[in-house]
Amino acid sequence: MRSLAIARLSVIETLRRKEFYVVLTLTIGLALWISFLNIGNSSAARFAKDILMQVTWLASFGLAAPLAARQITSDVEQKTVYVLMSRPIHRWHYVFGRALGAAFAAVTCFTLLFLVLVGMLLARRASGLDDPALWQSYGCQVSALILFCALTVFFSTFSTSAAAVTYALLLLVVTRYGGNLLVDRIEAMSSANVLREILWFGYLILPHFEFFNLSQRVVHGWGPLPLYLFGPVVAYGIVYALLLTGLAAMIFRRRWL
Amino acid sequence: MAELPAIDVKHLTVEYKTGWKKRCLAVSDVSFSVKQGEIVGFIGPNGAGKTSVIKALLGFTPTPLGNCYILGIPCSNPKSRERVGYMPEISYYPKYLTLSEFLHTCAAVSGVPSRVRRNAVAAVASRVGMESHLRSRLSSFSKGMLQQAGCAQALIHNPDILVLDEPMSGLDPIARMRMRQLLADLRDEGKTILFSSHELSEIELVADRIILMSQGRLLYEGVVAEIVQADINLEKAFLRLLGEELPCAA
Repeated sequence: MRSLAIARLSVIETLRRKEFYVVLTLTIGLALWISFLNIGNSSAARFAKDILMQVTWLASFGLAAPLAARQITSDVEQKTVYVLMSRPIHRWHYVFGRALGAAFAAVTCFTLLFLVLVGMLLARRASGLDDPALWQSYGCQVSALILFCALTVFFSTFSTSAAAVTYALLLLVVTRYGGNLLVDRIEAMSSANVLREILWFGYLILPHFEFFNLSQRVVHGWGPLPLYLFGPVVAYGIVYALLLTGLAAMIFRRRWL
Repeated sequence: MAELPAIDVKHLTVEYKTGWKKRCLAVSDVSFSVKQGEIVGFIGPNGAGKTSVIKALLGFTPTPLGNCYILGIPCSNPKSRERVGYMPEISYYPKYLTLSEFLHTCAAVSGVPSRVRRNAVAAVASRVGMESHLRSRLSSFSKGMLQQAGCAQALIHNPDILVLDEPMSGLDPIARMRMRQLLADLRDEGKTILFSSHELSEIELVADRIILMSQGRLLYEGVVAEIVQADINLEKAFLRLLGEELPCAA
């Protein structure tokens, strides 16, 4: 319950910061402009639909990154952490509360953007509410955002907020858009090369944001993921997020305020 | 059986890292205790280590040397802060919140049950004279108002021990008088108060004992009445103990 009170604090702060509304307005404006393109079943139309979805997904990460990064760093820099940590809470309560608040705020922002996207797709009859792939992609993106927020909060426990945003976005871009390239490069290395094993290990422990990208299924009408894959993907995001938050709490526990 | 001290500090040493292999000794082998129901003034020149001691008491410095206890519980244990209210020196509070939201959050984090929270917030706001500002955002508060908000958040969960860092700072004379009265009322309620201040005249009026620190060391511990009897006022005693001379009038 104490963590929930701290999470509530994060949500209120997010909703009252002016830059939140500026970014949200710009994103909705951009999405509306793209919606005037022909979206439907032709290849050009599918391309436009793909762009629309990517804009929405990337905007949600773009909103989440600074939001999550400043949760702890801002508190410590502005010394507002003292009024919370002077109370009978463990440091992990605080870290968990901040991460949860950031995730909740990020998911709320994404849900608003998603509703705009769904509205535009419905208006152009490019996809229906009965498309399970669309709702699966929403679920996967929510899980991805929870993981992304936890990752950013983790980085912020030992670096500045700008650095935390940079590291998290870099990992996002590398895994979501370059994951396959990375695998090909590692596979191409000689199996006798020790570096190959190290890189494989590094690749496996990285958070795999490419797992959550179902936009192609929606764009091309390939249908939803089978439940035995969808469930584990969503669970992967949440479990990994909990692990990262735990690590963040361990680091923050030793920090002098 | 002797009563448990409210605050017990034993051989506390606090060192800060200031660079690569560089350390600053902020507190050196300080020991003191505060009895339950006492008001103790914590005084010393700037950089004496008062705030470092307070930070160690509240668990902000997780690995100090020595031991600190609050009502017998080690300060590293969050349970030690269940009955402690802290007012920081500088009023940095979440500026996007209204006073009501801020106090509700503090109450929730302190474990005040939700069914009594609303009444607790209203009562404490009234006690510090901020009841008409509950719906105002903290970003619109003056320095004095932020001090009063800070006092309110320290009292929201009805703690037995109060640790106040410069509680009079930024207050106008009427607000100072109210704060002094509040401290007296809290003492009458049996609260223990440890407060640091540069306003020696205020300490003389309110405190039972003083603890004087300088350059990280504990210089003096004594009853205010005895000191004042010897040195006429606390300011002269302070200068004498620090080995400073009273500046001549121009």
